[in-house]
This record gives sequence, structure tokens and C-alpha cells, in this order.
Amino acid sequence: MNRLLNIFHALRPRFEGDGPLGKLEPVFAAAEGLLFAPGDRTGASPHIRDPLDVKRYMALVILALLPCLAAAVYFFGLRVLAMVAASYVAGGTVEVAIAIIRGDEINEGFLVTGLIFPLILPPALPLWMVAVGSAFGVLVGKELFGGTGRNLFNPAMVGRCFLALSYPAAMSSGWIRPGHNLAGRLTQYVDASCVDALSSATPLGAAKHGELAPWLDVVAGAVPGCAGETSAVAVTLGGAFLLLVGISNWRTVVATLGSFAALNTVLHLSLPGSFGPTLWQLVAGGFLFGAFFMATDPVTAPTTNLGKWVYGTLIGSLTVLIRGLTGYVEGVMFAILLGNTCAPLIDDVAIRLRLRRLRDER
Amino acid sequence: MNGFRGGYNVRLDGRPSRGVDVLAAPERLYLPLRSQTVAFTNVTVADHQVVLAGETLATAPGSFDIPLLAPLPGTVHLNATDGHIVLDTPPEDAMCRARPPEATGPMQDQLVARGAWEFLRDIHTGRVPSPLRTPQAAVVSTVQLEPFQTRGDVLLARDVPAFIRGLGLLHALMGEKPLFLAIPNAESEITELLQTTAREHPWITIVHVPLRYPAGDLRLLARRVGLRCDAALPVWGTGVAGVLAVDAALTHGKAATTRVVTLGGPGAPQPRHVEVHLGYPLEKLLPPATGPTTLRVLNGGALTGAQLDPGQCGIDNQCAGLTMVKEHESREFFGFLRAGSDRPSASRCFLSTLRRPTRHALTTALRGEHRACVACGHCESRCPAGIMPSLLHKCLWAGDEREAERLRLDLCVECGLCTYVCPAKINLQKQFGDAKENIRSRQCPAPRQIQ
Repeated sequence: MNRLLNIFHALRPRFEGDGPLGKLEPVFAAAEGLLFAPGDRTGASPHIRDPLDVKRYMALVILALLPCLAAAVYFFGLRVLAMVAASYVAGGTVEVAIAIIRGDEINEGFLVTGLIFPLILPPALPLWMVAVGSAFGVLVGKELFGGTGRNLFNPAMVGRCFLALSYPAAMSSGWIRPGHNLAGRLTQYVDASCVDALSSATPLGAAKHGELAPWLDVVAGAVPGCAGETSAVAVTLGGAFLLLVGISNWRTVVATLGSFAALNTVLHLSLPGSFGPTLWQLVAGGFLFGAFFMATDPVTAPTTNLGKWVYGTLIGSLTVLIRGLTGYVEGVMFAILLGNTCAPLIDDVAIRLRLRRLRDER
Repeated sequence: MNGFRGGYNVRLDGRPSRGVDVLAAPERLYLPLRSQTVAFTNVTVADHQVVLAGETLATAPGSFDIPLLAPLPGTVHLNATDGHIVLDTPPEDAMCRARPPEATGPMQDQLVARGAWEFLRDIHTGRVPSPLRTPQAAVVSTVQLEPFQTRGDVLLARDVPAFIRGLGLLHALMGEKPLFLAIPNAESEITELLQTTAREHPWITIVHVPLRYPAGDLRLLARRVGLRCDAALPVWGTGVAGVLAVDAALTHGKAATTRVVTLGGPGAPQPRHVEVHLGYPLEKLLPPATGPTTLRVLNGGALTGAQLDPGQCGIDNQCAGLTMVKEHESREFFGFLRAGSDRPSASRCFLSTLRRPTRHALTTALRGEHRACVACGHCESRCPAGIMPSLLHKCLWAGDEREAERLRLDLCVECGLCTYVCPAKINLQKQFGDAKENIRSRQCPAPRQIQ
């Protein structure tokens, strides 16, 4: 590896300051940083540091998403990988372009956004739409706010919301029936032209008409739906991993799932026509994915612990209400975006309460 | 405040055992005229003057004229080394046995004259307290958990009766005000003895402290016991070394001219505690430099210590530890993808979580790249002061110091844990320290010395 490192050392002057490729310095630094741990030393106290860095942090989120990606490929075919590639290329291009314009570093955050985004889209959605949505999400959802760490809304959700409002027909019809044999659709490339494989409704859509998909299919993910959201098993596996390593906050997850279960149970008992059985509702659709991977995004969630409880409760409750009382089949997207909107306000109140507790300390 | 919040023990390699080696007096002492908080700017001896042991060489006008004492008899050289008073000490047989004039008067004056006063701290300001002002209480911490500064148990093991006597003298010195004694929340012969002592003396209140850095911090302890420190009602704080210095000065009339210093860290060839005279040559304590900047020597611990000034030649009056850390040199291929069973972390993001904690030879590697805060919450979960470092960072990043004040930046004890755990590698400790300094200078532009 020393040889490769020496190549980087030799190339570096070309990418620095007034070098011929000075503008591409962020790209060079990102490539070098990806391959080799940085050689930087601490400048002032503390003179030693914990090994955790943002790259590791994001890499673990990607690792947690792999079961969902595997389930998506298994149930909906190889096209999911093409969607991931389209998302990465478009989102990455925007990220790199902005980094070059700003002369700033390329952030690892887009690697997570770029993977989450195709997983929350219908698997037969045209690839150009995936690319446009990804670019929009990164540009408007993140970069306009100042980049990773400064965004108000979850960039993947912004991209999805943009597509849902701009191309409602494609976003509500690009469903694929999962393969039901042992090999699933592992060897198939299914797109909108394969009419036989398309499905008209997701389990949540069918449930609006009183048809509940079989339990086992819903839990395993063998139902039509957004690419990475259908398999409750894969989502829970990845979500549990994130909780175990401490990257997602358990308060947000418990509050989101708990409030959803509590409110849905109450409303199911009062209005069984509008609100389905709680456990079925919990595992169907994108709620679990949203609770484990999107509500827990630390940047767009409140920073205080009390705030996380309130935020989770808000998202869980809003999802139930949107699913049951509006014309929308799935409510988690709007619930999370509304939660993101309220996060600063929730934090403000929680901080006031906390400062009151600290008032007597000198 | 109900309990101790946050905290984390960085398990750094190179921890010395409990013994203390007493090193022989060298032929030449290099007494620094400046340490972290004290500047001895008023030199009171002439070049080539012969001085006795315990004689005043200089005083610190900004710190109530506490003196820099000659640890040994010898000849003064003022211009031999920049920023130091160099003292040539004669061989032992030619050593002058005469003692300087005995200090008399109130206990405070005796302590100042014998160099013991500088062990006391006003917890509110972090500086030497005024000898003319009686405190509302004192906090004595026997717990020092930072790698590596001289631990309380190491000093206590040498002379517990002297420590107990010192507590009594400190109590008398304060006008019989209450004294809070922090001891480890772990059973040992020494803690048992201290608890028995406290039962016999109702003015001692025992505070049990978990063995988790920085629980022994004096400001945290003062808050823990509900003491409100301010300029009008100072709270004194000190450690085991301070109590022993008070006892030595008032019981035996001995000047505090030696220090027990920890030589530790992954770069220390032989981790140990040594008792040396002030001004002991650093070159005799540190390994010889073998290459260009391969070792970083810190004056203090790895989390709060400052890099040793290259111009400093001898042990200063506030030195309690020299931590040696190797400079980072190698770069790992795909380092962030390693399983990490050999990487102890405050997070659970490495396989080391599944292992029993072990000591680790950390280097000065930043171990990541500077990024914007991702609000991961690690800083807040480790913060012992109960504040929100990530929010404070955002305020200060936006230049809003007033909002940072509202978010209680003043409660920060600058323990360095937030910076240690930050995955975005933001130096919060420095940012907070600078902001506190700005706020302080804004509030009192020309600080006046309380006389």
C-alpha cells in the first residue's frame, strides 16, 4: 500500500492551491481520505482522540442498510442496483460540484442519503426520476442549508417529497410484485415495461379497501412497496444494529414506535373501518424504515433527549393520523418532514426546561 | 445536582504503579519563572548571589506575592537560561546547613512563605486564593483520574497521618468552616481510614466519587455538594499534595520545594512516579530525543495538559505529571472499515465493545477528518457538567457568545471529553476555553487584584 500512498503524495501538488487541478482538490482529498486514514495530528489538548470519526459513523449506517438493500434486490430484482447507481451518480455529482464551488471538503453524508433514497422509492420508477430526485434532495434538502450537519430536513425525504408532488402518477404506480419462488427476482431486471410483474397497489393501499395482505408476506417483505421498506425483518435487523452501536437514538425509536402503536390501538378500537390492526399497520408500508433510519437522523432530529421523545411521538402519531384520516395511503414521509419542521421548536422548549434545571448551578 | 453526570475513562498505556522514587538532588536546578497560572516576575535575588534552601528567589505579584523558593542552597544565575533562575547547588559536603529566617505570624503568612499557599485554588477563578479572605468552605479531592497526573492514592499511601493532620490545619486555617473530602467510591484501607476520621470530625463531609474521569474535578465537586462559588464567597479547593504541603509547612516548618511527578504515557520508557526538587532538569527525566519530533511531552495529563514548552528546562511549581505520547506517523489503508477489536472507544462502534477494557498505546493521531457537527450526541452524553456542547458549538460557530452564555457555557470545566469523543474532530475544548476568556474579559476588562 505504500506504493499507492506514494502515488497520492506525488499527485498532491497538482491538486493544491494554484496547481493545474487545484479546483479538484476536494475530489482528490475525498479519494485519498477514503483509501487512507488521515495523517493529521492533534494540535492542542486533548492530545489524544477517540477512534470514531464521521466516515466510520456513516459506514455503519450503510452497513445497517445492507439487509434492506439485499431484500430489495431479492424481491424486486437487479434494477434496484441501477436505482442505487443513478441516485449515487446524480447526488454525488451535485455534492462534488458544490464542494468544488465552495472549496470545501466532500462530505460522507451523501453516501448514506444516496443509498437511502432509492430504497424509499417505488422499484419500477424511471431511473431519470431517481436521478432528478436524488439531485434535488442533495441540492435543496442539504446543500442550500450549508451542507451535512446544517440541513433542516432529511435530504432523502425532501427528494422523495419532490418526486411525490411532481410525478404523483409514477410515484403511486411503480410497484412491482415480488418474486415468490426461492430465487426471488435475484436474476431479473424488472422495470415498468414488464407489465406482468407490475402491481396496482401496495398492502396499505389494499387495506384502505379492507383487504389485508397475509401476515407472513408483510413481515418478510414479499409484498409490493417501496424498494427497501417492505421487509420488516431486514429493516428491524438493520435498525437494531444501529441501536446496538448507539448511532440511532433509542428514545426516538421507542417514542416513534410506541406512540404509533398506542394511538393506532385506540383509534382501531374506536374506528376499525379507518384504522387497521396495530401490529399489521406497524410492519406494513414504510413506517418501520422511517422510524429506524429516517426519524433517527441526528442532524434533523432535536438534539435534546426530551426533544427526541416529543419528536418521536409526533412522527408516530402523525403517521397514524395521515394513514387513517387522509387520502394518502402512506403517512410516514409527511410525518417525518413535519417532525423535521418542528424539531427546532421542540428543542427550544426542551432547552428552556433544561436551563431551568441548571439555573441553581454555579 | 443529584449525581455525577457523564464522564469516561480513557485507558491509556503507560500507567505507573503506586511506588514513588525519590531522586537525588542534581548539581543544577532550572527554576521556570512561569507556570500555567503563576508568573514570578519580581526577581528578588541578584546574579551570582548565594542563597539558602527555602530562600525567596522571586515573587508573583499577580498571585498575592507567592514566592519561588530555592529548593536547595546554591548560587543563583539569572541570565544562564531564558525564563529560568538557574541554581548551582554545591556538593552535599560543602552544603550550607544554615536555614533561612523562620516564617512567623498568622498561618496564612507561614504558608505563603513556605511555598504551600500555591497548592490552594479559588474554585471559582481557578487561581491562587487571596490569603486575606476567609472561604465559605473547602473541597479536598483525593481522586485524580486523568492519564496521567499524580494520583491521590499514590501520595496518600506515603503518609496518611500527615494528610489527616493537614486536614485539621486546613480547617483551622479556614476559621473552622466546613470541609468536603472527596474519596473514591471503592473500598480500600485508606478510604476506610479516611471515613473513620470523618466520623470523628463532624466538620468533614465525605463525598463518594465514582472512579470515572473527571469526577474528582474540584468545580464539579463544589457543585455536587451545593456550594455556590463566587468572588464574594470563595471556595477553596486542593488535592492531596496541597494538604500534605500545609501539614509539612505548619507542623514541621518545611518549605514545599519538592514535587511528586508522574512520568507516564505510551511514550514513557519507564512509567513511574518520582519525587524531585523544583527545577529538576527535564532532560534527566525525559528519554533522549531520537528523531525529529517523534515524542510529544505534555505538561499535565493527556486530556488537559499543554505541550511542554520547548524552552522549559526544569520542573515548574505546578507540574504534577509529564505525559509522553508518540507522534502519529502511519496511515492505515481503509482504516475506517476495520473491525476495530483493538480500538477502545467511548462509542460502541468498534468490536472492542465486546472485549474487556484494556490499556491502549494511543498516539497524537486526530483519527479522522474535520467535519461539521452531525449532532451525534456523544459530547453531551460524556459531558460531566450537564451542558450541551454541540449546541454551544453551533452558537459560538455563529459568533453568538451571548447565546452561549445563556446555554451556561460557564459550567464547562474544560475536561476535554467532548473533544476527545467528537467524531467530527471539532476542538470544542479550545473553542469553549477561548469563548470563556472573551466573556471574562468583556465582563471585567481590567481585572483587579483583590488585596
